[in-house]
Amino acid sequence: MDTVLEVKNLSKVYRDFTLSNVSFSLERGYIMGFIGPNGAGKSTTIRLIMNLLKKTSGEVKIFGLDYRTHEKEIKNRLGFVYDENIFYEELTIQEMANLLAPFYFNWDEKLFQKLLKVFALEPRKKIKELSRGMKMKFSLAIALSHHAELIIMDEPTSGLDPIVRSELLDILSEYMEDGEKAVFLSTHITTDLDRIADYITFLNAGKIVFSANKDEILDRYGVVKGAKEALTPALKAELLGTKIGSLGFEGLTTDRTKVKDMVGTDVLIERPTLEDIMLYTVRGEQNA
Amino acid sequence: MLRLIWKDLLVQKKSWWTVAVLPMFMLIAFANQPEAALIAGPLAVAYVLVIMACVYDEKNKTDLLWCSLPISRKTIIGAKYLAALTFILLGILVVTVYGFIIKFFGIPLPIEVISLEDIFGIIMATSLFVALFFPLYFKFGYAKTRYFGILVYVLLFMAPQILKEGLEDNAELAALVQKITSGLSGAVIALFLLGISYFVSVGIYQQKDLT
Repeated sequence: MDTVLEVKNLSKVYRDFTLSNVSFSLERGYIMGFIGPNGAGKSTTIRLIMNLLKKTSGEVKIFGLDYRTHEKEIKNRLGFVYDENIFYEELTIQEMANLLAPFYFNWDEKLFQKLLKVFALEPRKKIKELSRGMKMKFSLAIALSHHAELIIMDEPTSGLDPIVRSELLDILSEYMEDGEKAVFLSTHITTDLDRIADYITFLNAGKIVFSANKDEILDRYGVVKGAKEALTPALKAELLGTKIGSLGFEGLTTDRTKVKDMVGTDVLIERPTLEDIMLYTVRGEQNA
Repeated sequence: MLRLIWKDLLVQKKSWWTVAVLPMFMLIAFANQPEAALIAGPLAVAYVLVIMACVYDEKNKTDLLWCSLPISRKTIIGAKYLAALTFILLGILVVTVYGFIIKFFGIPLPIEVISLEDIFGIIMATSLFVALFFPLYFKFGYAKTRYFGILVYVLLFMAPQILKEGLEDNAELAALVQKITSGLSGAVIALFLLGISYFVSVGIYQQKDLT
């Protein structure tokens, strides 16, 4: 397997927040969703990977190369989309692209012009006149036009309407078609990942909760629901973020089979969504 | 590198008119001090262009953009210093052209065509400003250093007068300061300080967390 992104024990210590020993890896041909609540450290992790922040400790390898000693080579093969505007609002799309293009050794102007048409972006339009969705598409057009092998995206869908979000997911699916590319995408809108992600890395309060194949996670985890009487101490100990109401309880198990063996047919065990996993886990840690 | 220098000019295309208007304004405003006018014009041009380039960078958070591209931070800093030198040359060029126009058309302004001595003075004043401003800008950003920038700019304008008054009682020292800071030696010293400033800025920016 060809690992395009490898993060090992990455840490960053701030006065009021610590990103602690983050580790995961992404292989070519896959999309990894990077989920977690606001303030979990997703953007910090991405900025560390992009060498915008200085790590406290740990290791980052991109395309098998150290991200600092081979920074120029790596960034030539890397695309990025951030959650905020980082382009000169005073310039037009074409002027901005003209500034960026010479820095990439494999910039493809024909492809860029084609993408502008596909994304309905007018080259003479100023960046400040673009909507949030159009700015995101422009970032993506830049990333795709230099044939990036890995695209790192920080909350690209936040603040976008469902139609633009869906368009973005279609573009990414198309980009992944040849099996040679990879996408690392952070979001707190987990429904986007239900559709396109192969792997999920879940970060909470600066720590990795899990980094695994999405289907394996969804098969393994379960939302357990039942009457209050069925919630035995042994079962309660197995559940995360348990909520007890007048009608019964619900909680998340990280091992559906184990709970099934434990309680038989007394409770209902449902396949969770990524949102369920995130919600229950965060609630569980807050209550702990 | 050239692209990065060009971008500092391109992003402020709306302010290009100042490159033409500011020196003219200075030549008229300082008509009774022709030497000061010839230095003040290019200094004002360089100051405005340097500051505005920083304003646009900070406003658009383009640190994140440039440092995400295949460009080293050293190159980004180097381009900023070279852009500042380009702005100085631009100011000198405009004032030179104005000097010739004034002379050619016999416009009643006591302005001479710029001399080599004036050019050294411009290089010294502007380089000193850039050398002091940039390391602080790269450390703290524009919002926190803008008043310092204005202060340095004003001090550079007032420096000859302050030095003259401060050294009134010490003729020998005054002569020495005059000798060192005028002409080629002044420009060379300022460029040397600019070089030191570049390395300080690189050191600061290499370690900076971009948020």
